[in-house]
Amino acid sequence: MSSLTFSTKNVMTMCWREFLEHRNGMVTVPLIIAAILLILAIFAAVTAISGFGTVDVDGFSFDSSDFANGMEEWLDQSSATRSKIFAGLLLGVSSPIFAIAFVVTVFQLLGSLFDERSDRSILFWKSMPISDVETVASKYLAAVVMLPLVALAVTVLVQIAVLILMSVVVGFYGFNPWTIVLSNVPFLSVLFSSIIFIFLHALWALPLFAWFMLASAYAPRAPLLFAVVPPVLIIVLEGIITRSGKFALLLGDLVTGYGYGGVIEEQVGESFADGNDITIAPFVDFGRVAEGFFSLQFLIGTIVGVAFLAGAVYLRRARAL
Amino acid sequence: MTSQTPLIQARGLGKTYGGVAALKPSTFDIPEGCVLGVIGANGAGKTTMLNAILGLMSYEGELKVLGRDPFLERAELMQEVCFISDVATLPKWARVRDVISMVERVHPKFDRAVFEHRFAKTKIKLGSRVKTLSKGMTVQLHLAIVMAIDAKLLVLDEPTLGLDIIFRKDFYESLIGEYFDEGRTIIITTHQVEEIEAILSDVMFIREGEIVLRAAMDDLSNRIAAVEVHPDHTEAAMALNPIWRRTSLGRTIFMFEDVPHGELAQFGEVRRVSLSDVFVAKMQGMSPAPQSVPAAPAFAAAGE
Repeated sequence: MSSLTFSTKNVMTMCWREFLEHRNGMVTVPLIIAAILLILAIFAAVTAISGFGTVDVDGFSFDSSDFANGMEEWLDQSSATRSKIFAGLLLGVSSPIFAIAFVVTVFQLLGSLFDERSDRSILFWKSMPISDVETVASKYLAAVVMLPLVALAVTVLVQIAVLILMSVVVGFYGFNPWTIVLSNVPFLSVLFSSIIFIFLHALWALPLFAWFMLASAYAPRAPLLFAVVPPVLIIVLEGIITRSGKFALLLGDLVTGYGYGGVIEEQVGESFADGNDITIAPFVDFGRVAEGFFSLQFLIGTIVGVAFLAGAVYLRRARAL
Repeated sequence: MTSQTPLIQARGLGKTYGGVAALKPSTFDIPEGCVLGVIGANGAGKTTMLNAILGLMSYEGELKVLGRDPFLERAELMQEVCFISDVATLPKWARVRDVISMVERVHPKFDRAVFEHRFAKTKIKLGSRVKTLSKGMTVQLHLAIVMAIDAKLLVLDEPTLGLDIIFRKDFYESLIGEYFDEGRTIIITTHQVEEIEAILSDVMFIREGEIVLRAAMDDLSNRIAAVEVHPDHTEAAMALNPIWRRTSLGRTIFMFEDVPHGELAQFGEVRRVSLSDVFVAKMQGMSPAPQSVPAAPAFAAAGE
């Protein structure tokens, strides 16, 4: 059907268009969070160098006033434990950035098909040979895949900066930064895990993200309201009628990417539990991921999500404004 | 597309919103190579008709634009069709250079060199954001983009609304002087008849969702004429089904459609009418609504 024209080149161009429009949300916001994290890290480094305070990372703590002693204790730990602690540190850097990125994604989706109607620029875009399917696909991909990938790039920069800071502190006390810090960092594991998580989350939370796009395409005003009210009504009605909260739990799963997000957390522990040395393998249990893909919940979620996206395409096609 | 096949074919084309007909079923052809003015009051159904032609909404009846169903095949159609709907629809957040690169990437018929030739005449800066441009500059930019696209059909819906007279004149001059040729077709809607009268080859009047006149401009003066009728001959004049009548200062003028000039000559001197006169006549009909009576149109004597 020719109304469903789909050209990858057009989608790529329109993704780039989304990037230009949402540069603030995609780049500036994660950079601000990154700056805050860096300031905290520098503060911690200065504290360490000036010999005050206690550093406490994931159960391992030492008093920085007794740095040399602390380093010896640190080297007494198994390398698996050290790697695990650094994995925790790297994920600790990425989680605030990704949490904010998720919020930005939601708002970008809510504006995706609403803003162009409210500023009438839809009339310009519709005068271009770009189909509604291509438009919806590009806006979805930009918000759900491209945006977190940009956030990841920023995250990696912060992680590198934090590791450099730690190395400087360690070097300041006359220890070898390589043995104390860098050789213990499962940098690639965390990176690969994050990339995989982004794609898994884009698939897993499809019905959630697609719902925001549908609300954006439908809402005559205030898309946030149109997105939030129906699920809240369902939660309230479920609570009144069956005195249960399954729908709320389901939504929570979709937001946090449980099933995949959970897998990663568990795997961080497991990867190092059996005395594994530093690893580059992602903390993903692919067996469980595959299991997730073949689950009824995922199947239903995908069908519902695709239906929401189809609804968004239909609404965009049917409405001039 | 052969010259025999009309560019646009509408058969019973209509649109109903909640039981109200925005466009009553209309049948018409628009041939290739014309400059058609679609003229009507606000809310008459002009935009409804154009939105159907541009694939911006669903419709009843049959419609083919360049042989395609516009609603189902809008994206393909937009390779051959361009439109400016309303002023200032360019994305306000974008920089001028970004808009141009985006069009260049998605539109296979966009010619950068043609664009730059025209763009150089404006005072618009490539680094400016669209939202900082004046209304006139935005229209200039949009027109420069559209004129660099080698389209078969260009549709302009009130393209100069709210612009001052210098921009409007320039707009239409460059449109006809630099863009229009025999292979192209232009459809313009407006309610400012005088402004586009000179550039039109064809005209269509829409009133309350209905096409009340469809004519070539060359034909208009043959088909529609006015004559001053002495009160003694009023009955005879009425028998010829005038489309409009106006009495002022004791003189009565009748306007007729498709009545041979020879027959009208019995009443007095047959006068040619301007497009705006015809417009007023067609909009008011025989019983003008008192609240919307504009100044009586000035008639030019035949032969002028």
